[in-house]
Amino acid sequence: MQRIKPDDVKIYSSQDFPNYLPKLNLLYDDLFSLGKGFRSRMVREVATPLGIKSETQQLLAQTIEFIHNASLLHDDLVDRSQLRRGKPAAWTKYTPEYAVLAGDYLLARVMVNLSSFGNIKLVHYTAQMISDLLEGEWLQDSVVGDHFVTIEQLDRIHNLKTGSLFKWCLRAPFMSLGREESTLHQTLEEMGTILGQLFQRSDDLLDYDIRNDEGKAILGDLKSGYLNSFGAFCCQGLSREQIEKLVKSQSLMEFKNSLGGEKVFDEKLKSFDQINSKMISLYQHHLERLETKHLGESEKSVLKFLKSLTDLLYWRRKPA
Amino acid sequence: MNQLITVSRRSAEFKKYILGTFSDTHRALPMESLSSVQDHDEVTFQLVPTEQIQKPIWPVVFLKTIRIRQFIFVLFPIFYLFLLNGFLESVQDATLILLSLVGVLSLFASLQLRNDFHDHLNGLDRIRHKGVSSPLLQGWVTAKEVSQWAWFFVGISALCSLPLIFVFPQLIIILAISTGLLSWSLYRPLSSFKNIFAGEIVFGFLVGPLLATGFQVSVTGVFNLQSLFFGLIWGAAVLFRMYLQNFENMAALSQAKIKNILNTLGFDRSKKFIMTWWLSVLALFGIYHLVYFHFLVWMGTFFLLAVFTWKFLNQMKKVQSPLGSALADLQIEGQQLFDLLVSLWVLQSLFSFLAPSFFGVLVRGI
Repeated sequence: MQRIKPDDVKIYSSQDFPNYLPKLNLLYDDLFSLGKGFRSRMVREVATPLGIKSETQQLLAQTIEFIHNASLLHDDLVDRSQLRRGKPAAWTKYTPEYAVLAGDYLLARVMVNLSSFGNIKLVHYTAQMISDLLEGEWLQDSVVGDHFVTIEQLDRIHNLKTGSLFKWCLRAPFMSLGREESTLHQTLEEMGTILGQLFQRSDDLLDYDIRNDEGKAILGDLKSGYLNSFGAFCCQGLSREQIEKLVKSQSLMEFKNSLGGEKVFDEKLKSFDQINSKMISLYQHHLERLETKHLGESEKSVLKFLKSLTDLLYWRRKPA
Repeated sequence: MNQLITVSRRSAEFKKYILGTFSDTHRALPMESLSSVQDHDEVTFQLVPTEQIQKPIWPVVFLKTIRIRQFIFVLFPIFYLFLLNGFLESVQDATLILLSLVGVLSLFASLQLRNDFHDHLNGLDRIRHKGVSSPLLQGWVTAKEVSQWAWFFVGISALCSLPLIFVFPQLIIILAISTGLLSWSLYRPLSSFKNIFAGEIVFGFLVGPLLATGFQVSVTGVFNLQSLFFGLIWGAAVLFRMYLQNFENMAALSQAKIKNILNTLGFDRSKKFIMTWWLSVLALFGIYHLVYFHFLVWMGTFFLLAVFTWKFLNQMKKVQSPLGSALADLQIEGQQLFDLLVSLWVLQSLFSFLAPSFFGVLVRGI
């Protein structure tokens, strides 16, 4: 995935945070640099065709990045992850206490900035999204080390943890314009749910070196005790003994062999892709409804970006 | 993928799609969702040609649709009450037994069907969780057919109860309470046990004390305190199974904003609640056997159940998440505990009720 431009990365101003606090701005500089900023770009790609003012776009983009990065600060500490985006995680470099406080501070800024925008429904929805995100984090932590978790259970966690942010990226721009038709938001909600799932599942596939152009560590999730969605899918129909053996794999080859060989692995992947292709069809159906029922002529340019998202997020194909 | 269509709940077509009457050649299968679909104004259906739907032979479809495995909840108390009444010795008329049996089974079938029908209309069966009504979601039957079957069975049940009321007028009290509870919980538009706080207690009350007392009166004409006591324990044991199922689906049902007892209590308190509930069932089971049976029977049944209870409680302590595999293990332990309760009761009753006649024959033979 492309890195975003430096001016996009600097999504905050140092004036947003008190300069006299030691290490705070340094911590944020580290955190926000090298990030893909995908969610803030998504907000802008949706907001621009809707004719949303650039200050509002900046506010929305900043909101989603603040929330996402706050979750990363907390997540790394909870998971005891040493690295974030190839650099030492904030809690290792700046102490766990500062990492927690910096995350809290970002969430507090979100509420300060959004409330001054004056759209109470947007504030409410954003707070709800943060709650969902935290519920997802909490649930995920409660299943770490559980190698017999099912894909349905993981989907539920991912919907809260990952899907909630995608849903916000789609819904918040409309909400900022005061467009609150329930059917519009239900359509966007379903689309965001699907995008969140596709993104998470594709991200989980990287662990098994599938479409892994980013060079993500192989079997990283499994080795840290977390059976991800593709792992859980592979375990379907296996006995407990087989699963125990599978999750102890130290290399991808060993994993494939424990599963029954390369051919079985490929078949599993094919089935997994088929299931997700069905989800993509459902996304396209909702997209068509968005086009015909909810978008004005001038707004329809948003469709090109939205259409490209499933390719980008699941198949990891960059738009032409 | 087959054609998809999204329909507003307020539109005239919605009823046709959700009931399955929109076409003779296609089935409209609602898409599952992780969202809180009950709040949604629109429902997305997948239109599947009927020839593409692979369904088993009709008896299997029928048995799965009426959830035959759940019939243990009514078949066991009927069986036990037969034994309790010394089989046919104290029974006044075989026709009355047959009418009671058909009436109870029909009412239970209707209850199951009506519950699934409501879940389908409300969207509860589209929230991905265990225990969904598969024949409806797989397109084996339409919601309209399920509703028609439900009314058919409730009709059969009503017909069976009429002659019984003439013979045993006191039965009308039990039937009136049952009808009142059912009308309040299931036989009104868009209502289900799940939509009513503590609605599952209605179910426990119906298959427990009401069924036991009603069946006792309808076959013997006499109220019996032991039957009522048995019914109370049985109803509590059935509720234990239901609470375990609700516990397994807690995350999904909470997100769908279903207000049942467990979701109100929350995860940690629910664990304590279920453990306490089962210990109460065990205590009542012990008291029942101590009061009505020989001390040795009490020893044999109660202590064996207590040992397996210990195993179950240990498994409950291992459950640390409303998602995850420990919940599935807990279900297995809970099911085993329930099965053991039923098996012990069957063995104990066979022994207690049949042994005297058996030994009597032996003695007479000697």
